[in-house]
Order: sequence, then C-alpha cells, then structure tokens
Amino acid sequence: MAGSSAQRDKRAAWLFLAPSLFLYALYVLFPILFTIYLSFTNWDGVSLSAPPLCVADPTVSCAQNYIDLWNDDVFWVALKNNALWLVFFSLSAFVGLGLALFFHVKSRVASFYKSLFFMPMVFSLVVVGTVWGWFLQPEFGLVEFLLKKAHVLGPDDQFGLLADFQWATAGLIVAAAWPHAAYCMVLYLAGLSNLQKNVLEAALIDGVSKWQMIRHIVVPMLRPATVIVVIVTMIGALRTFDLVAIMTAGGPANSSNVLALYMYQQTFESNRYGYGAAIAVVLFAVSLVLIIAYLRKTREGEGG
Amino acid sequence: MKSTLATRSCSFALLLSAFAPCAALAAGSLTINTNASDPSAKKAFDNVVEKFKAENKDITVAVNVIDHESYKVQIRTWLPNNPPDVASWFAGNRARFFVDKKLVEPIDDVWKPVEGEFSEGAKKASSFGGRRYLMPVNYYHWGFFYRKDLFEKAGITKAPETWSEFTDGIAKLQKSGIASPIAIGTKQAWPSAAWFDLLNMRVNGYEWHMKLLDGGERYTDAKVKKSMGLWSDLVKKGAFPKNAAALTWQEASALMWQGKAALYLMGNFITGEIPKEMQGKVDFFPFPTVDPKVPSSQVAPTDVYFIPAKAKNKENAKKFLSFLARADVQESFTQESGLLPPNTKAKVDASNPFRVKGQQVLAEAKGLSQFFDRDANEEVAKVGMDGFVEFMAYPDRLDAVLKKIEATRTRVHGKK
Repeated sequence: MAGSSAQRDKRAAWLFLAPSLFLYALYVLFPILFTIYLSFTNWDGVSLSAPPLCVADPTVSCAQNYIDLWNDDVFWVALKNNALWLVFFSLSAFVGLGLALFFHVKSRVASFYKSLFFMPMVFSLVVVGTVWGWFLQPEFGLVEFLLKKAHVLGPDDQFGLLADFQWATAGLIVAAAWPHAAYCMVLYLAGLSNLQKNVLEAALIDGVSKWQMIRHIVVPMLRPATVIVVIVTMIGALRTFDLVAIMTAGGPANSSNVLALYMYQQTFESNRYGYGAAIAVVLFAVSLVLIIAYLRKTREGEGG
Repeated sequence: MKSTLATRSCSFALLLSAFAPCAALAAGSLTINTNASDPSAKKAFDNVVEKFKAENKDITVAVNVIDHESYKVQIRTWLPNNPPDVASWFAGNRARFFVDKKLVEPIDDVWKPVEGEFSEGAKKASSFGGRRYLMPVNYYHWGFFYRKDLFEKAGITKAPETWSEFTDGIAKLQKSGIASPIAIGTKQAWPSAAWFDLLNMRVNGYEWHMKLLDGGERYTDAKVKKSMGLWSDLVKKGAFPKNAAALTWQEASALMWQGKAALYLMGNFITGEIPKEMQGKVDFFPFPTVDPKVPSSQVAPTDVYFIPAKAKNKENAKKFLSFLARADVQESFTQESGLLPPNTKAKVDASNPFRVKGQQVLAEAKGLSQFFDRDANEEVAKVGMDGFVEFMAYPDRLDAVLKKIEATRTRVHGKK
C-alpha cells in the first residue's frame, strides 16, 4: 500500500510540475540549445529552413566562429569591459547597504528621503541612460557646466568622458550604479526588518560600539540578503546592454562595448547570426560559471 | 483610419509574429510592406496609396508600416517565407544580397516605358547582371551645409569649389575664432563614413570607390591612404570637434546653430533640423573637387520598391510600381517627404532652395553611390565605420585601422 501511494504522489508531483516544466523548456531550455546550435553554423538569417550544422555543411569549419572570436580584438575588449563592470558595479551594493543602514536607523524621519533615493529604481534603464547621457555630454552637458562654474575646467576645456577611449566605461558604470544602489538599498532594508531583535538587544546590553554592531552582528545576519544582492549585481553587470546601447552604442569605436551589446550588433547589424550566437554562448558560460561558483561558496559557508 | 479589416488583421499578424502568414487576401488585392515610418514619409506614402486606390478601384490595398530598424531585421524572415506583393528597400548592395538569393522579381517590363525618364545613376543602382529589379522612388543629396554669416565674417566670399579653397576656408574660419569649424557627431559611427565616401570618390574616382566597397580592392591600397591623408590633415589641424564621439548627429548640428562650428557634411535631411532663427543663414555647397581629372560623383541614398519573387499578386504589384515610376506621382510624393525624385521629368518646387540645388547636383553627377554602409557588406561597413571613428580620435593609428578593415574584407570577400 505504502509503495503505491508513494508512486501516486510521484505521478501527481510530475503532473503538477508539467505546466511549468513545459514553459521552462519552451522559453529557457530550447532557446539555449538552439543558440548553441546556431553558434556552430554560419547562418545569415535569411535561409528558409534551419541552417545546416557545420558537420553537414562542407563550407564551414565547426569551430570557425569560436576561432574568429578568439582572434577578435573587440571580443576581448568587451570581455574586459564586462569584468570591469563586474568589479565596479558591485561597489553600488556597498552604497545600497550604507543607505539601508542609514535609513533603517532613522526610518520614520527619513521615509521621505528614502523614497527619493528609491526613485531611480522605478525608471526604465532607457530613461536613466538618456538622462545620464545628457549630464555627461561635452559642450552642452550639466557636468561640464558645473565643473566650469567650479573652475575645475577652464572656459575652453571640455568634459569628454563618453568620447574617451579609456574612460567611457567609467561613465556608464556610474550611471548604472545610480538605480542599482537604490535596488540594493531596498533589498537590504527588507533584510534589516527581519533581523532578530533579541540578538541586537543582547549586543546592546553587552555594550558594543555602533561599528562593532554593524561589522559583527548586523552584516553577518544580513547574509541572505547579501546572497541575493551579489547574484543580482553579478547578473546585472554581465547582461548589461541597454545603458551601453543608449549612452555610447559601445563606442567610441567599440572601446566601451560589452558582450551582450556586441552579440546584438554582430547578429542584427552585421547579420552574422552564427557569430552572434557564439558570443551569446560565451556570455552564458561565463555567467553560469560565476554564479555556480558563488552559490557553492555560500552554501559551504552555511555548512550545508 | 481608412484601413480595411484585411489591413488590420494582416498588420496584427505581423505584430504577433514575423512568421505569421499575412491573412490571405481576396483576388484583386495588393499588400505592401514599407519602412516609411517617419511622420512625413508615412504621410507622403499614405497619399500616394490613396491616389493609387482612386485610380484602381478594383484593387484592395493593404499597407503595413514597419519602423526602420525592425524592418531591416524582419525582412530576412518574411521575404523568403511570406512576402507581401510590394516591399520597400534600399538600392545598391543591400538589394544585391536578396537578388543573389533569387528573392526579387525582375521588372524589366515595368521599366521599359519609363527608361528615358531616369538618370544613368538611378538605373545603375536598380540593376544587377543586366536586369532591372528595383524601382527608385526617392533619393537625397549629401554635401556641406554651412552658415553663410560665419563664412562672411571669416572673409570667405564664395563657397569653396576645390580642395585648396576648402582648406583655405577652414584655416580662415579657425583664425576667425571658430576652433573646430567642421561639425560632426560620431556617437553613431555613420556620419564619419560620408567623409570617406566623398573623399575617396573625389581622389580615386567613382568606379574605383565602388570596386573597393564591393570587396574587389584592398583597404590598405596606397590609393585609400592618399584619400585618408587629406582627411588626416584636417583631423590633425583640429578642424573637427574634439569630443565628436560623444555627440549624435543632431547634437552636433546644434554646434553649428550655436556658432561653434560653421559647416557640416550631411544629408539633406538636416534641413528639417534648422531652427527658426537660422532660416536664411544656412546654405549648401557640394563636396569640393580634389582632382580636376576625376568626374564628379555624389552620395545619394535611394529608396526603392520591389516585387518579392514569391509575391502572390504580381500583376497588381507591377501596376503599383509603374504608378510609382510616374513623374507626376514622384513629384507629389517627394514634394511631401522633402526628398528628391529620381524621375528626371518630375519637377522640384522652387520654394525650397536646398532641394533645387540638390536636384541639380545629382543630375550633373556621373555616378551615384548609396552610402558606405549600403554599398559595402554589412560586416565590413561596421568595422570600417568604427575604424573611421578611431582614426578621427587617433589619426596616427591610420595604418592599424586600415589593416583592421582589410582583415574583415579578406574574411568576407576572400584574398585579392
């Protein structure tokens, strides 16, 4: 009897899972597999039927897209920029934590200011990119205007951050960090409201300083929120596309390009569907490795 | 909205999915896909369609207007699978790609009665392998738009016609206090390519330029270096804005309205951006001659309509293309869109001096190119234009930039 009921349970479980598994397969697994398949073809996007795989097509060598990628300077620039994003974009998580701690302490007084800080998160990244693009513009931009008022720049100087081959990415990350810090703040605020009060009270009775409280009690207890913040930040940095497309279009001359945008440009502007797919596969692999590594590490920390 | 149910269901199907078949329309129908999505272009095209309907009451016309960028991506899906009866596109190599794949219907019979009304340049741009495939409906000119008042203030009495007059003029403008007189914005890389197109055509001639863009010559050729050298001189003199790479072409035009720049190599569409207080202060001159032995040619991007090889109502489609070819239709069509009619019998209204000058410049041209990113293969064009932007920031990297473009050309077109 027990065995058959367990079997029935199993069947029921699969039945209940079926709809979401079907959608998952359709919208997640199939596109991933098809993209991997495309990366081994040199499809131009026009053929009637599915493009022939490299093994069936004598005109293509299987690894061609990946060999081309290896020899493509722009690919390495984009990969490097994604790494820069990963490192510096994460700083906005610290800003978010700082804001959350600040506003949590004075939560009632500061709810108005809290909502001000929260605001950029509501904007679409397209809006953020457009507005920051205007701020950072040479000749007409707000930042140049202010720097001139403050006599940091001379009257004939220009603030050409987004035209600079070395520094354009910095301007993009600053713009992206603005809404992202707000996002991290919200995540940490939620985490803070779930802290165990008795632990905090015990610490207060033991007479810890404010800094010790934050460093040794609050931050470790915020661990679940931190896991989410880190993953969200990592994914945000890796898949960044819209801000770059709007503020610099990857320019000047690809110096601020990132993998997601370069994939789009190669696929839909240069019509190299296979090559674009190969870039997507690399981006996918990088994300997968980083996120799995991070999740492993956090689980080890939990002793699980 | 006068759209019929058929139109709506068809555009709805397009909205849902680029793969969805357009609703099968009754006999005596005509489906048109167009990228004429800007308000003025859309209105002009709507009026043309209304006129066609009035003349052909038995044909039900359905028009799908698709925005420019989506159109470029989607056409690859519906053209081989579920094409409309008539579709808009660009002349030159962008069309050759589809012609080579046998996706375009030849229309020599549509052309026959109007052969004599089109210029050689327009005919060349519509033909591949000796057959006509495309019907040009409008084009526009490129050249220098400039501030007359600033030129006068700098002591330039007439618009430059030769390269030495041009460089003298730049020097005079710089002396008059305009540090970077030539406006350009390369946040989108394409405005830089106009400089390459026109300089290379002026130095090496139309035929050689087109052969290069077709993939038949090397970008590392000494001839390319010669034309780039003239450009490099201007860059090194600081004639272009230092931070051009952070400006869009519209933002760069503001430099000219503010008097921070005095001239701008642009397409005629810039005249739609001229603010009220600048009206009458802006004029046009064509790109100056560099080598008097090289006959004049121009950049004139041409919009065309064609019949997909798998169209269902080819007779109606041909009727529509013959209609589009007519001088009176092109006259009213381009009058509204502000572009120029490739049919030379069509008149250009004298109230807009830019159009009159443009029509004259294009009529005198011995060759018309379509613009770098339409004449060259897309991959080469992308690498090329990014290369031009890099070169404008670091003119000393010229050789490295040309090598990069040449490497892509080799990969796409093979070794020469």
